[in-house]
Amino acid sequence: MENEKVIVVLLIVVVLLSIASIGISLGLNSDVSNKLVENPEGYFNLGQANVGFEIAETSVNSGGRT
Amino acid sequence: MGNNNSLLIIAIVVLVLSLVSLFVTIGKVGELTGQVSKQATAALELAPAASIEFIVSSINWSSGAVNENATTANIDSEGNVINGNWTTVSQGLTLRNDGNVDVRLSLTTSNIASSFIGGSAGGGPSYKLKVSNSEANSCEYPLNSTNLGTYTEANGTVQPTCQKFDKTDASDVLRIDVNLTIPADADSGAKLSTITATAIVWTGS
Repeated sequence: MENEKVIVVLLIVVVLLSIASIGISLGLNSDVSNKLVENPEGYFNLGQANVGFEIAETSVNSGGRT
Repeated sequence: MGNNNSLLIIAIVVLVLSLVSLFVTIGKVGELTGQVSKQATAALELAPAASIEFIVSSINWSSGAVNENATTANIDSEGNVINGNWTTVSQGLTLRNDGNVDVRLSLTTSNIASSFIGGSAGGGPSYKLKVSNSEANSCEYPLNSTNLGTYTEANGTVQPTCQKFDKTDASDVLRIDVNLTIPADADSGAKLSTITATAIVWTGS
């Protein structure tokens, strides 16, 4: 009878340890996934600049109007 | 009683195995946490921080015209205005790698000479870009031995410019000069082109 109680306690401990082990594994996977997902956003970057000027109307480009 | 003893022994064995399993898991987590930390460090250095910025992001020669009796005018961002009366510009576009990784740099123009400038007199228009080091060795690995410091016609597509644009503060600035040939018969009006610089994390290949 005494042994049965000990067995029950041991089995409960085993179950708790298994749950802890699974929890740790799941937490680790989640952490790794988050780290990997964060990365691609900064893989490239863009910058833009403008180049401009104006051409005034002349007798050549206006067909002789000026 | 005999059965109970057997069960007890089995339970103890299972408990020991479970403890071993837990310790192995914790050990692996420790190792992996270390690896994650390394990977995260590499990722932070490589991927998330690719960043470029135009310090000088605009060139404008204002209004002008091709001189009478000339078929074309030529203007650039190096202080030259030939056969025209546009405002002199002596400052090229300036691009800085302000991220913490080296990047591969490409330039794309929103248009090409014919659509940007127009006209056909004197051989037609030309729209060229020249990339050079504003700080020494900013382009650590040019495309080839001649592309750096040489004007290249803009073709409206993605044009690789520098294989390895350095991240180091003392050598992370490139200058992009623009050279335009304007035919005398180009239509009057405002002309605008947008230059897009694309930086992709340099991976060493």
